[in-house]
Amino acid sequence: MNVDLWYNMSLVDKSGKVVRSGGRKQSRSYVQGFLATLFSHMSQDAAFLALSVDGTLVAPRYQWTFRMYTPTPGQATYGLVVGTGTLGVTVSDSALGSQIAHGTQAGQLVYSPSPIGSVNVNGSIAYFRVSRSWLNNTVATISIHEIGGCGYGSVVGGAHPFLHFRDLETLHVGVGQTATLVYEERVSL
Amino acid sequence: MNLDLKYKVAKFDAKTGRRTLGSMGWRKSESFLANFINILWEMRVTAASSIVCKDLDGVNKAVSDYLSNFDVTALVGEYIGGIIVGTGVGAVTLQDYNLTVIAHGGGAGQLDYGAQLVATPAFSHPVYSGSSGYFRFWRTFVNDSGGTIVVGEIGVVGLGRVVTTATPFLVIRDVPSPSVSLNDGQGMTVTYQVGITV
Repeated sequence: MNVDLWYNMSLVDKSGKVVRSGGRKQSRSYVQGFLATLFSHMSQDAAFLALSVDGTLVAPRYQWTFRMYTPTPGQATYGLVVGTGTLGVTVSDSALGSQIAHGTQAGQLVYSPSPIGSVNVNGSIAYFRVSRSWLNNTVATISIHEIGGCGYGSVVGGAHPFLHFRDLETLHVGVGQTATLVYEERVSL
Repeated sequence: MNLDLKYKVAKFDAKTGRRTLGSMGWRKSESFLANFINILWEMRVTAASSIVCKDLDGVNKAVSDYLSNFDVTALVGEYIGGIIVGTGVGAVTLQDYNLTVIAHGGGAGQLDYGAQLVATPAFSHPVYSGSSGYFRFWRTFVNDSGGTIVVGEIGVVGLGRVVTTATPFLVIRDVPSPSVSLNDGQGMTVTYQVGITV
């Protein structure tokens, strides 16, 4: 076994009660942004360029290009993200089809911080989890159809996030409800 | 699996223009190691914390996110970086932190380690086709020792940053079966392929 990616998405109501748990599912895939970032780090090829979330070709070589942790509520540029796109996942995906913005206006969700748990090593398995939640503080239900994770990319000349993984998952988030997503990256023998 | 790791070993005759002596074909790598997931965690978290990894001497070191962790490049003769080989045959465990390393050189029991750099070249850019994508990196080893050398294990050493000091950590280990026997004058190229498939 090499590196596996799993996720679990659930829905919580105003009282904190879980009203839907999607169960643990294996992610469809890492995508090109992750492979490109890993290649850049391993090879130190400063001339190599990859497509960032904003559609810019940049060299994802320098520090923080894997970063998903964010302690800041409302920071929707990197970490776990959700969207409304429904097109199938491809290895060349560089962004969600249509990311849901942070906020309380129509069609927006309130992004929580994106914490990362510590590494757990249990015999032949080692893993850690990245999580995030989204509160619907609008006046209408919002439907999530795609989920993913973006690594923050600090490169020469600026910062560009790279999409590292993407999955299709539908969850209807009612008014006052919170969608919670946990991704787990693991190695196992 | 989501991030797929494979490797292959191809032998050649180093004395007669590198005539191919056969390849063992692609094999599934046994594993990225705990050091890999630890360093990945560190880079996911970044400046918020650091994580302890075992260096090549088995000493715990706190790795921080600082420029290009996972650097697997290596200079000619360098065997604390890039793909390395050893004589151990013990089963792979997640906690492995080194090999019984075959040193660089032309003396008894030694192999000549080639460079593993973009300029060598020893890396191929990611390529995408249909539902998959991959990149490769490789390194060449030549037996100029005068005797036969048996390679029992293969590893990859990546640099992690202990504060700002580049420190080597074993991040991948494989034990090919059967072991690879290199006669004097023979060489081998070890290639790893890191891939994703939707």
